[in-house]
Amino acid sequence: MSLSIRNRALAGFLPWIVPVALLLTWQTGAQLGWITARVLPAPTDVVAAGWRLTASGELWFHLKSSFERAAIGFVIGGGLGLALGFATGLSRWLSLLLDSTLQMVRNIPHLALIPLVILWFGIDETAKIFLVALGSVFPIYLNTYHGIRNVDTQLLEMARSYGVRGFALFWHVVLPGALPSILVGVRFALGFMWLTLIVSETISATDGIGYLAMDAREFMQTDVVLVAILLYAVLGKLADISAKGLELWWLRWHPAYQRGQGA
Amino acid sequence: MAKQAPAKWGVGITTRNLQRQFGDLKVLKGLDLDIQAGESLVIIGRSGCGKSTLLRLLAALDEPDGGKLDFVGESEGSRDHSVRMMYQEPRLLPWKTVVENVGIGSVEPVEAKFALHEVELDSKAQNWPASLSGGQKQRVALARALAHRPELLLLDEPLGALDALTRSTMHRLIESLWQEHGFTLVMVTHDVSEAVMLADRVIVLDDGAIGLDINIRLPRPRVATDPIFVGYEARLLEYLTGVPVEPADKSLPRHKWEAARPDSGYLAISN
Ligand SMILES: Nc1ncnc2c1ncn2[C@@H]1O[C@H](COP(=O)(O)OP(=O)(O)O)[C@@H](O)[C@H]1O
Ligand SMILES: [Mg+2]
Repeated sequence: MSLSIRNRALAGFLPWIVPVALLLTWQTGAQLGWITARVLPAPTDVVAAGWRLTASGELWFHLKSSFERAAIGFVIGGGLGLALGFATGLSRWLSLLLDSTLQMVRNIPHLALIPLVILWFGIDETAKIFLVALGSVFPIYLNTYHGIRNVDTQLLEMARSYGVRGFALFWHVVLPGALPSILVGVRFALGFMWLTLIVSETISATDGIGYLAMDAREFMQTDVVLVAILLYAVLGKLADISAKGLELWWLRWHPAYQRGQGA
Repeated sequence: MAKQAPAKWGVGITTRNLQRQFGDLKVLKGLDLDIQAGESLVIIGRSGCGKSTLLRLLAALDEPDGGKLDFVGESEGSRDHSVRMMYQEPRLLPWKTVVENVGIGSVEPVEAKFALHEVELDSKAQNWPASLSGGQKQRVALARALAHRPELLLLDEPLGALDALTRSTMHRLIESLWQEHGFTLVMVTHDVSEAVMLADRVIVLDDGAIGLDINIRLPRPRVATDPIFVGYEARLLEYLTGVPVEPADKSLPRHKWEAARPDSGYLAISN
């Protein structure tokens, strides 16, 4: 698709028309009283609520709680997934021992375990971190295992015949070869991480963005609920952007990620 | 007499009754082969006749199912002769820069840079392999093998995927590096002209054994249009195809053309 300069300006402008129009309609509708503030407060009210929460420090407080939960759960789950993936990917015996079980367990939707998790851990912090970890472990496990198993055997043979063995073989050949797949797993896991966090914070919490939303719901502060929803969206996007950033850096050798390196 | 490479590094190889089979398929059926230190030996043969299988045995990538394979050379007795293999594919690590690829297997960076210089790719040292052409990739693979100062360099149809012009540049490069380093060169190809261009000696692998074994007595650098060169080509082609080959250029003096055939009683060219 090649566009002339004028068309390119137009192409930059076109995608904005619908969202801006929607926003304007929403604002006008709310101001004229077509939509009650309980259903959907005006965009300006949502911005005002966001500003109020930021100024009072409430927003940062809840954001921090949610972020910590997400990070701890992701590190535990992702780390475990990575370790299991390395173990089964590198050892035929461990793969025989573990893989079929893990494949079976991964078919259970982790959110279905919520009642059980509440029975085990109550409704405190552990339950939420456990769920987040559970949500991130399988995407990373599967893609790590798959990535390692699919490392080019010709490259492995070449490296071995050049005397690269043991940890060096893992570090210089196996891991970089599996990295594209592992990073796909990381992006999936990040998606699951936010989803799990939202659900678990909505069920029970005394802080965090989910709590902010549920608390506001009780007082019918729809504007704050909307702020919470937007926060989740922004955080999800940020996580995705950082994962993409990692890909751009770690996979910079990959033809698909190369921009204009002269041949 | 053709200029012989000094055997500075080269190691000789002796195989006796060498066998290799896959299931019921006997690929090598008792191969007896003596490769001189510093020699340039080219192996040709039909596709699937076991050329790669033989090379993998020489590289110790696989174990023979029977028979003996010994290295003979100055450091006779020691098992750690440095043997390097160059494959049909470059097999570069895409996530390492060109110079890092050459340095694989704990080669000093200085050595890696020098090896790159030898294949005339200094300027690409910091590039990713993905940005190189096919011929450049194979040159990097060659540099990687050379950086280890091999006593035996094995080439398994490394130029098969390259265009004719790049191939002929690669021939010159391989020849000059072989003459300079003095390693033993064993190369597999399906290209008769390539064989005559590079070999001191060509063997044709046929039905799991050596079908034809001829010395190429031509001075280097060789010229593909030389009548004797053409004669060698014809001799090999005839053996491979079973059909008599006549020179395209009928004006070639018959005695020159015939001279290259071992059964003509030809022995050596003096120059
Ligand atoms: N690892 C293997 N397992 C089974 N058969 C093999 C294997 N490697 C090679 N062969 C068979 O051995 C024969 C010789 O193969 P190869 O040495 O690769 O031939 P080429 O002369 O074309 O290099 C072929 O018939 C091939 O199918
Ligand atoms: Mg082959």
